[in-house]
Amino acid sequence: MLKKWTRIIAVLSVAALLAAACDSGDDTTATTADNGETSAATEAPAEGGVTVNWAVLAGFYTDWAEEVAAEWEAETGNNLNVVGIDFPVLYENQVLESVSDTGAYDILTYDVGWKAEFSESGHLLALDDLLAAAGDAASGLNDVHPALLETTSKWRGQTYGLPYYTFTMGMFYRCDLWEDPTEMADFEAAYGYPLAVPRTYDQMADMAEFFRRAPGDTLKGEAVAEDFYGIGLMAGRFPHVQDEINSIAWTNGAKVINDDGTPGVTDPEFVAAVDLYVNELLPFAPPGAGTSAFNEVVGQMQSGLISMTAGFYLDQYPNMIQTEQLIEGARICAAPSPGAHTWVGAFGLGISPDSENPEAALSFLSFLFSESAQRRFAEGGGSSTLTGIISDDALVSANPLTTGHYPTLLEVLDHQVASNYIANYLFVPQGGKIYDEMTTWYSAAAAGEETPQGAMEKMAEAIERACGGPCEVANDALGAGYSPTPAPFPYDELGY
Amino acid sequence: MTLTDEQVSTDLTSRFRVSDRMYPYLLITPAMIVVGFFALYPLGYAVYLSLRHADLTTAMGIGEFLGLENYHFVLNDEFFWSAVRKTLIFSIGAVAIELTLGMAIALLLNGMRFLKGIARSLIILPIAVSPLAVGLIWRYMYHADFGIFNAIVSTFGIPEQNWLGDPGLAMASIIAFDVWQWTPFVALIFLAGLQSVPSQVYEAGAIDGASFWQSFRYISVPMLSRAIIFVSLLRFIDAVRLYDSVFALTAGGPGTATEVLTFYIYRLGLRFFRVDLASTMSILFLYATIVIAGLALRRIMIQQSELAE
Repeated sequence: MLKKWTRIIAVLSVAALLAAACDSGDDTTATTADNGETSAATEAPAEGGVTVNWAVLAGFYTDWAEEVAAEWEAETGNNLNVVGIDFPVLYENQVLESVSDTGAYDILTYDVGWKAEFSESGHLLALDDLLAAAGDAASGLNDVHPALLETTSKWRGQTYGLPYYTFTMGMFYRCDLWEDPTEMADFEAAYGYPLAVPRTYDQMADMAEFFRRAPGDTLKGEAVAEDFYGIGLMAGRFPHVQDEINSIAWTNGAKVINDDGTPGVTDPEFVAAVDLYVNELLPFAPPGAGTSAFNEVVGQMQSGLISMTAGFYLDQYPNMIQTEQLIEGARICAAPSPGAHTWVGAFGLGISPDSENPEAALSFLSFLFSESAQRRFAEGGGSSTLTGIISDDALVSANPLTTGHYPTLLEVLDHQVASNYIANYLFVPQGGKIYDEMTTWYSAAAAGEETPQGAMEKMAEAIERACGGPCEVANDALGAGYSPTPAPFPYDELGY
Repeated sequence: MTLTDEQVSTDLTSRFRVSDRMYPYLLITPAMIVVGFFALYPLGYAVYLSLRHADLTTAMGIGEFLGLENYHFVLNDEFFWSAVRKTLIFSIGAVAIELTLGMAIALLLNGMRFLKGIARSLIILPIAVSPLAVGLIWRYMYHADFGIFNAIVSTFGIPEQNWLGDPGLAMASIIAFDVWQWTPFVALIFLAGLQSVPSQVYEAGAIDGASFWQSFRYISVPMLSRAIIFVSLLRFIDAVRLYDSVFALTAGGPGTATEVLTFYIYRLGLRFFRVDLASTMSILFLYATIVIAGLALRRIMIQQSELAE
């Protein structure tokens, strides 16, 4: 008898386990998965409404996104599910869902470097017809700064997405040091020109060397107790080192991808840029530079460890400015990064072709790009992409701790439009893969694992492998006005 | 005609009767279905992909049949062999240190008279945390500018090190992290083994004048040989699958200094979406693991079959 019941219980248990395994699990609650994905609780949409799923970069932006989402939900009766995804897995998570046609996300978030690949590979829907149909409802989108619209939105003449958050580069420096009479006099005596915002990377290297102080040396007339470094660099194997090095290379007139699609990274000007980074800037950076991403450089500045950054994401201003509270007498200023062209980029939002509700998704994008939503984003510390917001002096005056970098940001973006130079690799369908390879090989050069020449030769091989030969450069849409070389930044005109 | 309750019960029992011969198969079937679905099907699909051109970021997706071309490409890929070399350096280095330290800790714990239970509970803590989460903490502990390790070494007058930024040190730093996390596991297995050795054996050794070292060499090690092989194999298989720690600590850097095989496969498969090459490497990786495990287990299997006979 016992044996019979044991068998029945065993069979029932197995059946229950199978039933549990087959449960589709429709209930959605707040979860954080191992893949770095966080999903806000989802309630059933209001009657007649639909649910729109938004894959968004996790961070403080997620909080803002949820606030805006709540307003849009109240206005439209639809439901917005904000799925926060950490940046290191944002690319693969979205591509995986897209190639599997799961329709998991209606709205995708992409880095400017992925735009061509996402558009070409069919991960993004061409929005032109939807935008035309939306008419005035999407008119706020027209205020996106043209520098960002071209780099982040356009592919083969069509619009695939809209930039909502810009991380365009400038540089940060301790202006209290730059304005100190003793330091100014010492610098001019040593280098033969006045201490000011560096206009070239050679000047930046001079300043990095000048501000390197050992314990016992003086800084602003006072002895320093610990090592002080001339520059903070993001030289670790994270997707930031390429933005620093490319800025130097572009200024040298070099290109990652030449106009004919061949890799330009082994050209002498490009190798010289890597060499300058490795041998003239890196020696004056803290030892941790080799493992640093942008947040470590912010930490170095806040700890009073460095005098300036190289090309650095201007959106980090709200974090950088905290140095003034943490280090007595410190003042933080922003300026364009040296030379000519720097990293002009943004996170874009596009709509998945697998979306069942593209109109609702566009409705949300239009809402997100409205003046009021972007203003609140700016006040909270976000770097808006709307010209009307970035150029709003009253907004900057009222929010100095979150928008103090906007004037510099506007200068850099305006210069991009005037210069009309856009890096070729943003117009290569394999842009996302090339971006990933850059991280590896620039980091190898920075760590001394490879010489600058050796690292760039491997980088060139990787580019050819990614493209299967010379890459296709699809920048025809830029038209006859496209400049093949970047123009120098107008420092004098802008009073630097 | 109406059946009684007893007749119904007897009828059902006989209808669903399972012979004793079939009973084990019935019980194992659900598990086999799960294994088949989650292990064999993906494995078969990986073999299928490894024989085709498959780039998921192109419109073609899974494309033409290539035969063994992907295997030829992978076996001639210098980055693949570089990743294999780094994987072996990590695995052999980490497992050797974990075995040595694990044995030392087990001997210490075995000799403790008081607080043995508390000590056993405390040392298990590193195993209980996620390598990804704790790896991020270790990344800051290792940081050359802010990290606690440099603060410690500098108090002893040792020059500060760039633990994760120096290509010559980065792999050693990852090994140290792995050793911190997994040595307790090894120690617990060895402790269980030591506690199963009859005390009379040690007492007999002591009567014969055996020193501590001789007891260890001639009693403990032979008695623990199976545990040593078992734990070495388990740790080695786990070590060659290293991914989380690398992702959290170095992301494969600096340069390619810590780009182990699983990380390279991840990059190819989930960053480049070349699932054909990633599948090919996974198949080769699995094959190598099975061969190594088979060789290591051979002696135990022979012993087991001799015992069974």
